[in-house]
Amino acid sequence: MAAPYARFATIPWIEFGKNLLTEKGAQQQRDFLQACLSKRDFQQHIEQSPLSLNREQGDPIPFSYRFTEAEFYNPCKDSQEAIWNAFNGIDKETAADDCFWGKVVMDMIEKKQIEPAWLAADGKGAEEEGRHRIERLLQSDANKDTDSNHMDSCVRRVLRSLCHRAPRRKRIIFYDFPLGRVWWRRHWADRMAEKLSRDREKILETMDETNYKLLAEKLYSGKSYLGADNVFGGLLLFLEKAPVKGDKLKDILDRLAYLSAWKAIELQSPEENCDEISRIFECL
Amino acid sequence: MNEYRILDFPVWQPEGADFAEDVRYSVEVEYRDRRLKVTHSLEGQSFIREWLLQGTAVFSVQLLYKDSSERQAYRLERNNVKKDQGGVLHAIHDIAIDFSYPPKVTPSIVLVEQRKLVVQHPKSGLSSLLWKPGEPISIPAWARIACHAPLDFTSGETARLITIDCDETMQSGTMRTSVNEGAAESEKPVTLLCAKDVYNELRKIKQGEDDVSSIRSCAAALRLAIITQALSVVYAYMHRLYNNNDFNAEDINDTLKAHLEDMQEQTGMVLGNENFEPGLAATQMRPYAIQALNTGENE
Repeated sequence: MAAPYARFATIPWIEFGKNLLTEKGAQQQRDFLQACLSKRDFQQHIEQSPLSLNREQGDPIPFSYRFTEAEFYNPCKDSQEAIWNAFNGIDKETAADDCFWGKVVMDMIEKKQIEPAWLAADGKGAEEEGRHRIERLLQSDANKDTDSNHMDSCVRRVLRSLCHRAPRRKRIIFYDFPLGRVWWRRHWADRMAEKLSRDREKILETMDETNYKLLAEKLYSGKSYLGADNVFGGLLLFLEKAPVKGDKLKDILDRLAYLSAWKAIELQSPEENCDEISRIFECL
Repeated sequence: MNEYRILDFPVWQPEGADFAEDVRYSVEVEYRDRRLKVTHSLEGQSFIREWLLQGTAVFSVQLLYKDSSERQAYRLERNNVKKDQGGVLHAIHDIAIDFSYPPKVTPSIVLVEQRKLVVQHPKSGLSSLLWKPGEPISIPAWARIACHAPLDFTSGETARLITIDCDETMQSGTMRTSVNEGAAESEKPVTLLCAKDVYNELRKIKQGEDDVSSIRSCAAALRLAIITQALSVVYAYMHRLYNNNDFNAEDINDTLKAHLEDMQEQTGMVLGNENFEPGLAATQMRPYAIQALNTGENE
């Protein structure tokens, strides 16, 4: 890796997640969720896995912000600032490494910044949500298909919160995983603020959580063309003028992809791309 | 417009039919010490050549760093375009890389302002089958007038596919093959976790002790069999993913994907087919695997 930060070794990390998803509702999933209910059991579970032996040493990143459950899943402005202040020095390659972020979350549990049960929360907003979800599942019947599916989906949620690639490959880092989401959204905001000579807050407002979700899906898919500064900049300029959301925005992004096949939109200025997108929008 | 045309202006493409055969656009890429050297060459008389020399068209590359979906675009201005003695145009991008792995490179020639063209054979370099003499063509600004196929540094070589690791706690003579189909581009997708004795044997392959063309000892044959066994596990695993509809080509590591394509080409067996036999496919890939381990970089 490019930067010498502590991380889990890749193979044990991948196997840890893959093993948990081998069979829906299996005893292994049940034991893992049970362990998530207490810090001591969770750490013991990790200590007994190959993860404990395979850590790549590196510089620790000072980070001590104590989250609430809701805040961990959906960081507020203060917690976003705390995350960025701690991690803004890492490079893009490290920020796209789930083995690095996984180690960060484990350290947060160790330092009581978060509780392991919170990893199961899926953002419906209630306190103790993760714990209630796990407890309810542990009382369910593992032989029933629906209960096995729910258990599997909860284990997947925990893995996403740990920034593990097993449920949805590495794109988890950029949206599903809260710290990654904050880092990458802020990274793009800073980058675009400089490119477009705009205020960062204004960019963050334009690229709000709803828009970012859609943009992240496109940016980090294999067919991404938005990742070029001039294209992303053009889109933000357009969204400033016309706050389009949802399916309309999705249509624009799809049409922009067709256009990029024959036109070098990555070389056009953001202003020219903004005009281009306006024309696409008018034709929708 | 001719019914065989896709766009209403000509685009040079590999295997494309818009241009005469003597018009060729080729690109070579080298990656060393975190620097990327991209050499564009354009042969033959054509309007693209004229416009490159006039500066209204530019050589361009797009770089994609897959793990973080970072796209970077570069263009070369007229003063970077050189003509060799044979009249071929060349231009070189020399780009510093800020990632630990090389990007996927997509070269093209782009028109930077709108231009009009009147077809003249052979001056325009266009195919007389698709473009009529005297036909006026308008080409919009930023159109890609020549598109090269994407280039990357991925190969299916086994050395790039497999990492060999030692686990001293494993029982002698044992080995575990682990496939990480979604490995990042900076990672190898297959790991052989070996007991110390197996590891020591495999090190000998890496050090080039085995000659595939003449295996002279039982130990050498055993080492070959270890690789065959590992490949067999890899193919069986990928075959299962394919049959479970978990095979999303977009998410598969490029090296693994290239290796599987090589395997299919070399063995004639197709992943996901009912009669696919992982063990048989691995046996047929073995000499290739050993050769690659001998010659490729590993760790």
